[in-house]
Amino acid sequence: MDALAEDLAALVNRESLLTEPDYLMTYECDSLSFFKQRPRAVVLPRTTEEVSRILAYLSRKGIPFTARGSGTGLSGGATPVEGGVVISLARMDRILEVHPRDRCALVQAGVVNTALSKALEPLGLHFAPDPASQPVCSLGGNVGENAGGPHCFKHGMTLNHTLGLTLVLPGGEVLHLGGPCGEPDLDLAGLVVASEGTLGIVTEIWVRLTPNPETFRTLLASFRSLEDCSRAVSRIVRAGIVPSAMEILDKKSIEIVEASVNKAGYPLEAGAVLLVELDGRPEEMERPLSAVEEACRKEGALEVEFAKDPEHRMKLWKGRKGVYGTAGRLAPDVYVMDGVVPRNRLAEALHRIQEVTDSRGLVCPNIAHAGDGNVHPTICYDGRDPEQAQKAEEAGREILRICLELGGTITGEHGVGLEKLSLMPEMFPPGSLRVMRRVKAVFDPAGLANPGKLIPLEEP
Amino acid sequence: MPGVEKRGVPRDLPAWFQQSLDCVHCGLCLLQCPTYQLFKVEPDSPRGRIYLARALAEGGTAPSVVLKEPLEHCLDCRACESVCPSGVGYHLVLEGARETVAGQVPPRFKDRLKLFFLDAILTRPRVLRLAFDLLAFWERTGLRKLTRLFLFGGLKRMESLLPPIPPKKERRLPPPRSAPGGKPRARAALFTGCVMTELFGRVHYDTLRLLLLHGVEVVVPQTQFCCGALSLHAGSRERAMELARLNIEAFPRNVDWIVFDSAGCGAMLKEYGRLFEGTPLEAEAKAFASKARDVTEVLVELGIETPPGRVELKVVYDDPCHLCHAQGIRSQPRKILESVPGVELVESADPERCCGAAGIYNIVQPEISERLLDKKVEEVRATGADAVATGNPGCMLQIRYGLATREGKPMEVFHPVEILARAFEDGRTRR
Ligand SMILES: Cc1cc2nc3c(=O)[nH]c(=O)nc-3n(C[C@H](O)[C@H](O)[C@H](O)COP(=O)(O)OP(=O)(O)OC[C@H]3O[C@@H](n4cnc5c(N)ncnc54)[C@H](O)[C@@H]3O)c2cc1C
Ligand code: SF4
Ligand code: SF4
Repeated sequence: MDALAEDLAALVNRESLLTEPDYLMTYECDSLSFFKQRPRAVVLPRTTEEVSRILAYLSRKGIPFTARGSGTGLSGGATPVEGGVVISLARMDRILEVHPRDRCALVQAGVVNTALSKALEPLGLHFAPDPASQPVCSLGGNVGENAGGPHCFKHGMTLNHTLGLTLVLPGGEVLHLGGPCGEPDLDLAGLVVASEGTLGIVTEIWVRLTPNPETFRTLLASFRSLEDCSRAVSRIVRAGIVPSAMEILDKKSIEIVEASVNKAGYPLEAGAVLLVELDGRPEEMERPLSAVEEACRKEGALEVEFAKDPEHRMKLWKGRKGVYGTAGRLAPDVYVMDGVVPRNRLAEALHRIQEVTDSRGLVCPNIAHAGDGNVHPTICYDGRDPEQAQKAEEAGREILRICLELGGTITGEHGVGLEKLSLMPEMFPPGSLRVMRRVKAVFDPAGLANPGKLIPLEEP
Repeated sequence: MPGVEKRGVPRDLPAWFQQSLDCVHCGLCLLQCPTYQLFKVEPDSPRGRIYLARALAEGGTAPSVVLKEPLEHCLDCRACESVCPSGVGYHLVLEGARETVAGQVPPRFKDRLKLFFLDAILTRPRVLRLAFDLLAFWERTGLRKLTRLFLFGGLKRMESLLPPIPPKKERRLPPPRSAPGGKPRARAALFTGCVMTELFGRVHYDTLRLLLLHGVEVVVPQTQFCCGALSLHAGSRERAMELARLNIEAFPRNVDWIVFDSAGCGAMLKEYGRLFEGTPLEAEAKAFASKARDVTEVLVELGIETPPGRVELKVVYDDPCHLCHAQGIRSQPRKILESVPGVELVESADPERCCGAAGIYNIVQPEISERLLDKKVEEVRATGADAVATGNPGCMLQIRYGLATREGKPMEVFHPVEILARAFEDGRTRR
């Protein structure tokens, strides 16, 4: 055991520490295996005090660190930094307090998204943000990336459901920002959301709880083309309807879902499908539902199908949520992109993205949270072939530039991490980047908290 | 995947390595994995193990005791496969990695003991019979009670895992051929396995009775062997193939089904085709595998007859991993139970999570096994059921042992077909 390992072992116990090179290797990357960096050690604290002790020690030694929840991030946020230590929050998985009447709960950062909603089930409450990774991703990770999901169109992203948090600063100081009643003035807790572990480590979170909708109505409309499908989305929004979710899947996505364990019964002959869900009180559902159906038909829907029962609904959703993993059958590596375009340019964006990947001979199923104009092209390639890897990276870059050109952004919910770092100067003017750096320096003057992520280090 | 060519992957690499490339590192399997649930570390997760296996194949790491540990912690329960959207055949990756490591890391005493136990006893029907005769003698003479006083540690655990040895007549194989009354609807051969016969032979008789009642003619090859699963999982492919070959030879070709009542054996029989891929025996092995059926599958397919009797029992069904995850059989055993008048079927919190038996895992990895068993016992007791039903000998032993060694209300453990057979056997009301 080297000196670092011995010191860390003295701060926590031996069981909370991994130092064998083989084990460290499994922490080289998050779900984006494009970037890899082996950490020097992995620590698995169980309490805020332990985190504080570890950070105080690391800061004395000038060792950088990276927080990791479940490692399902898609932009390299939890990829270790060179010479750094990984702090895994996975064992901080306790729900500490639940206040059903105030609709809030205090949880440790390692609690898994669906584990919380499952525990709240008897109370008729849930945590609203529903990333497709929700059976595994941690709430700390959701805060880190400001995660969203299909149902965020109506219910909002993680930011809208974070009332407060406990943040351990790189020196070891413990801050309590906000609380069960939220942050009255300057919303510092809100600042930490989406900061990708660059301001410190979140150990506890006050989350807002949402009552489970009384009913859901889910429909699946199939279209000849992506264009028809996107136009239907605009028509639905123009009609003043706020579905809780609106998801587009293109032809390739339909094909791979239908050939996987998540087979959902999407029509194989369609050029695109639109999955729409409405939630609310039963008596309020019929009018908007028929309006959605009408909008789809007006835009030339080939077929409109309603979920028959809860199982059917689950099946329709499982198919959608499985697209990314399912794409793994197409090639050894999968690069899930995340960009945003204004909703009325969605059809154009989807079309141009397809051109980008087609022209490079890359297979790329595409899905979109249509309500938010959030697109997730999924580029399939073989990372062992340098030429293909380069093509994939180029295509990714070009896709994000298209998003910017159309007036959108380079990330909807997966964050910047390492992946999009070099595009930050294209997205933000130098002044904004400078302010970001200053904000980071206030929390982390020595630059030890996940450095080199999210905010470019040097002046462009 | 039909119609989709995996691009850029050289075809000459081992199949298990190809499987590891299907993993996109999404992590959706993490929380399904019982060992990840316990330890919350990557190397003890499916994703981490695949990562290590891939590194092993690509030369990113070398076999070592360190690498071996997380591979040994794996229960091979295949819960990860049930949720993997990319359809990674995880068990193939595990087998491949274990074999690679086994070939290069000198076995420890424990491993050698395990292999000896498998090679010399479990997989040799005559030796196994003799061993159980001795055990029965040990028990009948009261020596078992006596030895219990002196046992400690691992041996004490093993002694309490072993249920009372059933009477000799239950441990005999059913007759070579039994015909139903009337013209048979189908013809089946019964696979009896190794431990199942010695400890749960009564289930074979119930399976036989139910098949006959449903109009199926049943043959029972009198010389058959262990399915080979335990050897394969221990990294000894050769021995597994030898056993598989012996079984393929022992079974008649002119049957519609090869019926088993042990989920673990069944999962293995269904894999025989793959085991012999690229060998002269491939076609025959595939034919054999395609006929393999769990008894609950067959009964549901035939249409379960309503039994004349009742069994008043509140039952919780627990899914054997090798039935639900490996074979995708979930509803059939429940249908069997629901078809019994008087039975109230209830569900526990997580019936698909491994109980910790996992072949001989409960003997070689006692600590993890006991922790998983704690959870299992707690969850089945919380249902308030009188009995647990599960269709695999390992799980039956493990759960019986778990209930006996943990405080709480006594519960019985059955194979689902036992309960159905009882309802046919007598119209009398139980309890
Ligand atoms: C199959 C799949 C589907 C996905 N679908 C979606 C989706 O629909 N919507 C979406 O938004 N995302 C999605 N993601 C991305 C990812 O799941 C989310 O970003 C999620 O919030 C990450 O959580 P995690 O626990 O895995 O965090 P990690 O990947 O471990 O970490 C993410 C970032 O947060 C930081 N972090 C983690 N924990 C803490 C903490 N306690 N304190 C401070 N910083 C911390 C890390 O340093 C890192 O920068 C998907 C990913 C996969 C694999
Ligand atoms: S779910 Fe499948 S693809 Fe995803 S990490 Fe697990 S094994 Fe790999
Ligand atoms: S087989 Fe079971 S124990 Fe092994 S990795 Fe998969 S889920 Fe985990």
